[in-house]
Amino acid sequence: MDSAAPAASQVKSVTRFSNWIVSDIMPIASLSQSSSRHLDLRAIENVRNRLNHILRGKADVIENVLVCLLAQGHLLLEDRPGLGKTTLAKGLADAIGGKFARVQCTPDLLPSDITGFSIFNQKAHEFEFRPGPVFSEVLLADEINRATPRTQSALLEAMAERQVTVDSVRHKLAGQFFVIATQNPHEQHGTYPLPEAQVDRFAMKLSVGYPNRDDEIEMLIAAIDDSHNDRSNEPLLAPAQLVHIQRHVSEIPVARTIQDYLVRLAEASRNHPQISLGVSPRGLLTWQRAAQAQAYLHSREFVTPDDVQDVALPVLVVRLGIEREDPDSVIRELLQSIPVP
Amino acid sequence: MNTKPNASAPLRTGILPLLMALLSLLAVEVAQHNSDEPRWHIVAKVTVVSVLMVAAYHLLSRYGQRGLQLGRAASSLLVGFALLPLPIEVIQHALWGSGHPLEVLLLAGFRNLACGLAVISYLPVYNRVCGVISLFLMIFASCITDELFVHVLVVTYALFGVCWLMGQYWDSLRGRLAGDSSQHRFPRRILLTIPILLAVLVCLIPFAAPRVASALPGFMPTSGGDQWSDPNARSGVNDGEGLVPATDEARTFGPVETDVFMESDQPSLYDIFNDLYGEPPQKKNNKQDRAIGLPPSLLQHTHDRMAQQKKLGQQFSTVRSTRANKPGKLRDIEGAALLYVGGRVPMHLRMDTFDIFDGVEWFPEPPSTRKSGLKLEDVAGQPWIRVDGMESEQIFRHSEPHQLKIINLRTNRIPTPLGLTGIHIDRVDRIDMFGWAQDSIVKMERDQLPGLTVIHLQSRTPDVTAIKSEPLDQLSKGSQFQQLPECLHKDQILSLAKEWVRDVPDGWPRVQAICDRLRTHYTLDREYRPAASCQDTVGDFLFESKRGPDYAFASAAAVLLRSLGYSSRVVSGFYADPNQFELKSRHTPVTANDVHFWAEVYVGRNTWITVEATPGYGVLSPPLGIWGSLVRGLGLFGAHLRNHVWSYSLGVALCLVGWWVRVILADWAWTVMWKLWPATRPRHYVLRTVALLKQRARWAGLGLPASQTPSRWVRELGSQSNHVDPLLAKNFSAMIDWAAYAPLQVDPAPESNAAKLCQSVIQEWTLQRLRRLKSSP
Repeated sequence: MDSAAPAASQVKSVTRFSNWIVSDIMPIASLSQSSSRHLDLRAIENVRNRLNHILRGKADVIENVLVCLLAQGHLLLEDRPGLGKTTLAKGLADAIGGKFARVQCTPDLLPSDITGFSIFNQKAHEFEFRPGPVFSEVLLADEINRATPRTQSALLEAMAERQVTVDSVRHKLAGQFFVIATQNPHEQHGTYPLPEAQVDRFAMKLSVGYPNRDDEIEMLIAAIDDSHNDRSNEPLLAPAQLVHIQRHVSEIPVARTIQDYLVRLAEASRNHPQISLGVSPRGLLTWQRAAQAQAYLHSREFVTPDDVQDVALPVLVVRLGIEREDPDSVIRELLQSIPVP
Repeated sequence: MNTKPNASAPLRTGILPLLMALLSLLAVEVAQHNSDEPRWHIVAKVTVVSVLMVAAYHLLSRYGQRGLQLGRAASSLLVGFALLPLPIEVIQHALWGSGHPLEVLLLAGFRNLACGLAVISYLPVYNRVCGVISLFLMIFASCITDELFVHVLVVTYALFGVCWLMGQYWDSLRGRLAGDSSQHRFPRRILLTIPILLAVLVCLIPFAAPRVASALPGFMPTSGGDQWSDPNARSGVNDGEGLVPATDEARTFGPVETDVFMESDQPSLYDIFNDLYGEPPQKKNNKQDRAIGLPPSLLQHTHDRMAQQKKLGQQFSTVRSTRANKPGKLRDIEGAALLYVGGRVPMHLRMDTFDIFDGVEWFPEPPSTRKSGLKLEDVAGQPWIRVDGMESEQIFRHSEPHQLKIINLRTNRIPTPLGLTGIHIDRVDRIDMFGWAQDSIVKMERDQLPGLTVIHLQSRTPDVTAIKSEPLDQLSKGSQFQQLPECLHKDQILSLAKEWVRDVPDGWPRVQAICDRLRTHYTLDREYRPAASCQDTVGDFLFESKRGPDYAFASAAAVLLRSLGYSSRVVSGFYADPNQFELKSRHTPVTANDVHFWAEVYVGRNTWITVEATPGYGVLSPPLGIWGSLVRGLGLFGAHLRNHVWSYSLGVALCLVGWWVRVILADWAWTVMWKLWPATRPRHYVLRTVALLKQRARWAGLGLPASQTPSRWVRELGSQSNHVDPLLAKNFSAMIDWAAYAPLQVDPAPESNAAKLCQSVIQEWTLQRLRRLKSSP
């Protein structure tokens, strides 16, 4: 017995050591691609849950917001006031752990109010740059169609180039710079509609819409409950992790047949009698990237025609010149006109 | 230039032109085939090339889908491939001294081009060029040969070509249409018509090919020898005068009019008769010697006793010994044609007429004493012997030509039909070369007809409708034609004849009734012989045996008609059988087996009409015309249906049942194929399962729109219905996505899992369940 006790303790300690090696050291030492991807997907799932908690009953909108985020595109939300656009933008900024900025666009808003400006520092006897709200991770441009075209152009250039030039000095924006612009389609007085060429800079256009009855009741109940305990605003994604995910999304392979399908859809949009402006090559690239993001969100490492179709509506509605009051039906017709590969 | 593969329509863009090119390749090889070369060379060559082409097509289309760009290299290769026969020819000529004609080299170049284009025909632009080149090859091949197999290939090619053109047109339409593409799917069931049409054609050939083909010259100009002149025909004349007699080129037929007068000393025609029917037994009392001594002129007017005209070797006994299979010379020529008949058949070619019957033997009519009735005429520069047959023009109205191509006929009598009006042998412009053998039999004034001679005949076909209402019993041609033998059953024969024609009006209907009765109630038996001692062969045939060879039928018909008071006689000669018609040469061969006996009845106005009492033999009717042919064809078809009513009923019932359960049968067959030949790789296994599932859904009425992926469709099936397990649907949907769109390096599914999942899907989503799904709200 005496000799057996040390042996048993030795075995136990060896087992414990091996368990430690297996459970703790090995994953760290050989952090494989799959485990990293698993962590990324879990983080994205957490973001999705938080956004669904913030904006109840709008899972499809949130899914598209995530697609837009992972595709490194910018989002145009077109809807009435009070439907949660700002809440969504703030919640997203909190979740991805970036700096949030909000610009309320008005006709007197100047480009420098967005990009930033140089001010003379009397102490240092030099001009120093005061960055504007574009130097943030998530920028909410509220009612963008109320800004003058000049200001709109400055913002749209920053969105496209991911940099601003002030006094001939180029200032790069954050890597995961993400713009959520809103506009109210029902108030046309004193607005400057975004030109079609500039709308193309947005990856998607979404409409939040009213929640349904049950979701509204749940929202009211939750508002009372949440008033007592502040919800955590801790970021769920590190900035580097988001960049990593976005890069991974851009590397998801797309089969030649899917690309051929995309091109045929684009050609059909250019030849459609009810579409005055078809999909541009830039729009096609955005569409492919959105499809990649959609595939990623479905935990797939390849793109299917369903991914292309799923993101088609928000991607196309922002950039097609559709001459009908119901653009959704035109886009559906377009999708139905081309056989899937 | 559009060089992108059209992945949406692989069948019609790639496979069809490939098949068309292979068909044209086969046709060219068959057309070029040298008779010295064994046939299996063609089979081997075409098989090897086909396998290589299909393999190359498969590989190139596969890599083409993955981005392989052929570009200009393809065009350069094709040009080089097309020009390849030229340097090979030069080398071959230098080394071995052999060569090919220019057109063959040209054909080889186009053939190479078609093969090359077919291999890359998955690209739309080459696809169309391939179709055009293969069409050119097929036309070229069909023009340089008359092989039947090439014609079959042309028909098959045409069917594939129609489908291919429909596909092309459909593609062009589809490119312009917007909207729900699920409504615009190419109707692939059209392709099913190809095997169905081929099967129908194959089924029709044994029934109607010779007759249909013989009817075509009236509508389509062709080449080959039926004297139907058509300015649109190839070589200027349809089966023209220059081509058929082979004066310009001896390619259509052996007997040419350049060798009209071949001298020979061959034995008599009657060798053939003895060969077919056997020789008559030796008679105990040799009456031949006495008969020889009797000149026919003395016997013609002895009405009160049986007239006899006997000439050694000319009379025909109806009592004969069994034919012996003698080896030697006659056996060697068995089956070889004695002559060929060009023109409409059946045709009774008369060689000898018999008037007197003693119960056993038929004695020929006396040699003709006619001096007139033959007249030389010049018709379009050709010498024609006009024959005054003296037949009624009211009955013999339809004049038509025939050609006799004499091969091996050793007699000087010209086998001619009733109603003969003209004879023409090229360059024979002397009237004294022809004479009368009997009153209606023309002969050549020489020992025998020259071999390999073309004899053109012009004759009129009798129309029996013109005599149907006229009484015939008062019409007498001569007592010898109404004379009945003093045989044992004479009274019985008379009463039998009266019984057969009871309630039948006088005239032709009675003749027809006798004829029909013999044809339907008596059996043709070429081997049957009455006893050698039989003195009444007709009675034996009519009352005892009720079977016998054709001369028994002819004798019985003649005797029965005579008993009713009609003038009749028996005629021997040849029967040009329509069943022997050769489609290729468009002629009817007449062999030693076509020696035939039949009867003729006198209908007044110096006119005899053929009475064919032997079952299986027919009489040439006047041309029916399109409407008449149609009615006759329908009548024959109806009769055929009536005769095989149970077979056809069973067939139709089976077809109806098969049609009713066609979907179930097709599903069963596809499922069995899926189970018996599973794909080796999981990806292919899944895709084949999807194909089967899609087909099942289509059969069940759950069509998959072209704009919807199978995976989404499967997911929706799982989410919409209680009949489908949602988890299975979800897993299979993911599997479909992986199989269809994932790169090769992405997460290959375990083979066992894929197979297991696919088997579950096929077992769970049966056709019946999908149908219930369709019918459920």
